[in-house]
Amino acid sequence: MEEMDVNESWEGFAQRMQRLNPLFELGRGMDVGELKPYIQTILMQVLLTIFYRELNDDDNRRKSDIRYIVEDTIKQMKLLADDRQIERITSGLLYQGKEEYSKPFEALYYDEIRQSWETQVFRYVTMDELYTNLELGSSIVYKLTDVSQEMIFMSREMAEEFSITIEQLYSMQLIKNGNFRKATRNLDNLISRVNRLMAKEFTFQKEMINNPKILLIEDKSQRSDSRAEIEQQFEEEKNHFRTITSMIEKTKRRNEEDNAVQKELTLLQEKISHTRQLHDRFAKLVIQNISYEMKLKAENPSLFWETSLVSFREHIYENGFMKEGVRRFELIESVLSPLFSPKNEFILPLDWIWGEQEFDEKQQTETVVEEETEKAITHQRVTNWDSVIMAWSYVFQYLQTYREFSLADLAELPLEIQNLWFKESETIDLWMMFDKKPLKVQVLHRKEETFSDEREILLYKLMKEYPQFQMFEGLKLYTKFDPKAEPFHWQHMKITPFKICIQEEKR
Amino acid sequence: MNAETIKRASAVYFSLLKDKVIDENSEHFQTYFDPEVRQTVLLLADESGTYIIESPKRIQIVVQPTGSVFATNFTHMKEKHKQIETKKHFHLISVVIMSFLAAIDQNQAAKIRTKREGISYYTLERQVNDLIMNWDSILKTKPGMGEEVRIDMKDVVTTWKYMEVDTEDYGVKKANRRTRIGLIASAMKLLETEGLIVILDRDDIPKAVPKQELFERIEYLYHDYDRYEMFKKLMNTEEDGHAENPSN
Repeated sequence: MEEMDVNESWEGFAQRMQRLNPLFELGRGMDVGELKPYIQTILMQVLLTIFYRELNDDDNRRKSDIRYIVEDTIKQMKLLADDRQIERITSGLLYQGKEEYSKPFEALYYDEIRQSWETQVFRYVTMDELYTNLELGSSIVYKLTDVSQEMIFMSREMAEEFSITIEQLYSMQLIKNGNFRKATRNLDNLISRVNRLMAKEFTFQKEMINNPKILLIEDKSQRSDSRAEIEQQFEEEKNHFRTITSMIEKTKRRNEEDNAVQKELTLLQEKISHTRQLHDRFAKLVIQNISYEMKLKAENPSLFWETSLVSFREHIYENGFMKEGVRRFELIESVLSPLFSPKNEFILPLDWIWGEQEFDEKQQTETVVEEETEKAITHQRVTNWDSVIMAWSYVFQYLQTYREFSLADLAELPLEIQNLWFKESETIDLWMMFDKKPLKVQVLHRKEETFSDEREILLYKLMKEYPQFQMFEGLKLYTKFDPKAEPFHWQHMKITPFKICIQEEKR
Repeated sequence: MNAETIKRASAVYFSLLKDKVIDENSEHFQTYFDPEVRQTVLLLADESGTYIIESPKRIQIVVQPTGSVFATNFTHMKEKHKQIETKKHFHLISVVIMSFLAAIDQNQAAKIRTKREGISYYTLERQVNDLIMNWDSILKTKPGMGEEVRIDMKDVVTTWKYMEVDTEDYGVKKANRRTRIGLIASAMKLLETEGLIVILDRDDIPKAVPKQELFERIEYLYHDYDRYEMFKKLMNTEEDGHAENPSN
């Protein structure tokens, strides 16, 4: 099983790295001075611009155009660059190293199958043969390579940047170029895109119902004003689907002889009809949400008024307590107290409640409940005598003074000690042991190995650590039911309240 | 007000007392919004020093800042920290809760974000620290101002300043009030018990995620101008009885 897990993590590792390397390498080693921290962002935007031009059949993708794109991008990002830097960035996207050699980029990856390091050779842009006029010997028109397209798709997966329309355009482009397999693959992107948007729309619907005010802040709030526009957009997208379908039909007819192509086209056709169905469902959901929004706004306009002139953050916290300090903490308490609900365990007749409430509550041994839940965080059970001894030393100190100790008294000890007490479950286990039978303390002169009773070990260790407890030697410890205390709950146990007492006996 | 109305109103009021929150699926929710019943419930609430917080999805009951006969999780916490040594811990817990409220009391967009991501204990620690450092400089720059009534504040500032943020010792990490994170854990625990937040990533870097119930309580209590005036008055009356800055 474990071995399988290991294999899984290696599965397709070389391929993964080959997808990531171009990202890692983007702009690396480029000497652009102070632009270095921005270089990847600049280059990504340049790649996107080239990509969109390709989708829109725009052939302004020559080196001189790319140089202009670089310059423009830098300007738009409010950065400064001189000609040399712009040249460097442009050529750095086209080739590795000196422009003269026009070298491709290289990166290492580990091949998990061959178990060796391999070199990956790639480029970000390559010649677009459709647009480069080879006969006329004009300059090269560039398009993205598969590698850099992959980068854009990866980032899109994260950013959900592309609209459905762009995906459709891209599919059309691919079909036009006869790249059916890739078109099919791109439909997967379109499907995942639609699915994602649909999930988002569902969440939005849920949130809107629960808290209509989000309509005030989500961008979507504006869309209800332009319902017609949205419907038109869906209509357009439907048209794209129709175009894609007819393109596939035409191509099918043109390639009747070619079985392989027919197969690919059939696959493409199936996929497109699935995508279309999903898209229709999505459109319906969006329209439904819009109607709901409009209904909410019409019926409960007050929900959308931002009425509050005051806020806790600004008026009470920042301008109040933070700026002025606090004279008496009762002030903070009265500000915070109404955050809490009245506590009431029993329903009593009305006038009883008024009178008895506080009283009833105090009877509950709440101390432990809180510690318990905090304890649940730790989940550990350690045998740590040091801590146990430390915790119990307070009990024996108490016993020394008052001759008896009840668990309820614990609440009176400093909080640190209370925490200590519940830190080790053994501490409380030992408490339970005292309830078994009275213990005559005779440990001082015995060897540790001879003890069979945990309580004796405890006392022995206590006396060694704190000599003042040697006075317990010869005394008898017994327990008594404590009628005043409530049953005690600790870690799913109900502990009968009892107290440990000292019975003085002459030796 | 007829007997039937009173009967229905008490049913709603008592189930509010029992459950603290009544959501839209409860039969009492419908009953409550009958105008006569609502009036009676509000009357009962006011007489007993409680507020009823209404929202489209639920109604909640909380105590009024003054004059409530009811104990709450908050008053319990206070009860448990009566000793001098532990009292300042309670003050600090209150400060933590305040800072937390301030952190989540933002515009709608930020609200949604905190609701999704929560606020980590360490972020909160920084927020509290900002407040305390501010107090520290107030104490330093205005040493003569009402010295005797600022004992609490001074004590709290000192305790916080000399408190470790966290402890390396994993075993005692969580419920340890001697560290700042431990204090924050106690404060968040209180809000969790009250059903106002959810705590995530307990074993890693814990985060407190406010629930809608908390936002509704904040909005009702602190975004309302009349109640804000009341808090202000409360603060001013408290201050009137004590040393005043002569320059004011």
